Amino acid sequence: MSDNYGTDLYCADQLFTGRLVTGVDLLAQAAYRRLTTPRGMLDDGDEGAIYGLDLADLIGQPSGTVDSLPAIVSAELLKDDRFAAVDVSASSVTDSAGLTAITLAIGITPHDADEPFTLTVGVSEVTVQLLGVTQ
Amino acid sequence: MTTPLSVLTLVVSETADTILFAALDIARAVGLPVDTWRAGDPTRTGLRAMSNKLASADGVRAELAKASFITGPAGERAEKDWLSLRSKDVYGIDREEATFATPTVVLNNTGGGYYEIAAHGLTMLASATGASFSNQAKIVINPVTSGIAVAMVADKAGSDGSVGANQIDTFVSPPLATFGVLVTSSSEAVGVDEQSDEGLIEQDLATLGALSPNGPVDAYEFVARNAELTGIQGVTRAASAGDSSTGTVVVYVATTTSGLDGASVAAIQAAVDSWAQPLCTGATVVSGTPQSINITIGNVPVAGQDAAGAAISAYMATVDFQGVVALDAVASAVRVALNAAGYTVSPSTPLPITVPAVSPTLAAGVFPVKGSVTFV
Repeated sequence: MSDNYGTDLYCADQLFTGRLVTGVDLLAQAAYRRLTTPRGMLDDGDEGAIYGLDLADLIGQPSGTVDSLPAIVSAELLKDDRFAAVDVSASSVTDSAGLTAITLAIGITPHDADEPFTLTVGVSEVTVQLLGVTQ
Repeated sequence: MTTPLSVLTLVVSETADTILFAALDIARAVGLPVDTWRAGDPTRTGLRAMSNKLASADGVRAELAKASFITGPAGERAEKDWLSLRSKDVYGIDREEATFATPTVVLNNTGGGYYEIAAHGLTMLASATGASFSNQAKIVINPVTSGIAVAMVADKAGSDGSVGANQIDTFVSPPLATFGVLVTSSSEAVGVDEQSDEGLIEQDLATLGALSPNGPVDAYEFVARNAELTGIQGVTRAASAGDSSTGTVVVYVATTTSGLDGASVAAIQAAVDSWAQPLCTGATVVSGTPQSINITIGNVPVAGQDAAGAAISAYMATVDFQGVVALDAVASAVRVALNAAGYTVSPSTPLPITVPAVSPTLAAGVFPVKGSVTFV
């Protein structure tokens, strides 16, 4: 596993200060945080000002959300200079109560191109879940 | 060469970026992979949050230190609420609050409608200035009635709500004009801005003179400006002139842009008599006289002419009784205002003032106000 991406604290939905993460897992967590942090919440200068996308907030918007999500997600993730290419596909299911759940399959090719991986994220109107990371 | 000593050389306030970079340098020095961290990554975000908090606390610490001083240039002394706090605590002076302009509008109802409008239910606009106003109390507009006087109050405090005679001309809500209600006239009214930091500091320092009322000019000026003692708001100009041959003292008073009426002068005279009466010689309070200074200035971009006019007004407010309207200072104020408003004027481009030909020197009891401004 490449360590070109360094080491940091483990942090997906919560921070584990005694646990470290490297490689693909580090990149996957960085991508996941970008998709669950509302824009404007990261107070970190110019980069912070354009950081983040609140996926859950996009659900329930006027029609066309599913169609437009891949481009929105790609644009957000490509702000991270560790990602060379991002390929997103979205599928949605609406249950009998009218609630929509979207699954995003996000293929990410890091600049270290021998370690592409796929991040699977489930999005509903109230939550965003990291469903898995596969290489 | 000695470095000038100021509070900011003793109490250094670090920026969040400076603190963050110092923390990252330490992390790098102990071998952490700092250069791989990006925005949003956990450790960097934690350090950034800590840096922001420390910088915020640093800023408060510096403000607290500056609050101990009221002299010196802006940025190195108490400002805004810190200054208000110090003025109250040390000098017993409250900052004068902004006042609301209260014009009267006269309406004619040419239609057959009957209207009862609750307080602040009628909104009108002075289209020339953009200032809006509402009725102070419930009004009744009877059908086919003329001369209905309505007391209004500006929606915004201070000079933003000031309005000239007959400038209130538009109904915003309800749209009474469509039902035959017409505006026949409106009165002039002035809203006074909140006392500036500079004005408050001047007032603070004058209190020291008030401690000895046997003649110091500060005592007269302190009392004349003090609305709590005189009951007159908005007196921003006060100057004492003594005549050593006759022993008489004249105290000139005015607002920033106008002289005072007789009742106001009498009220200030009474306050001076009560609070600053010397043992031997009385002081006479008279209203100052505004002198309009017409300006003709070149090379001001059309889009920047409003900013230039405002800068000239602001400069005039800083020139005291019997002062000099320095044309270089006027041009400099205009240049600064244009640059601040985004209309950059190259330093090599002059802003020539051809009228007046020389810097006017004002007579005793005279203060300047902006007259007509011609851009060429």
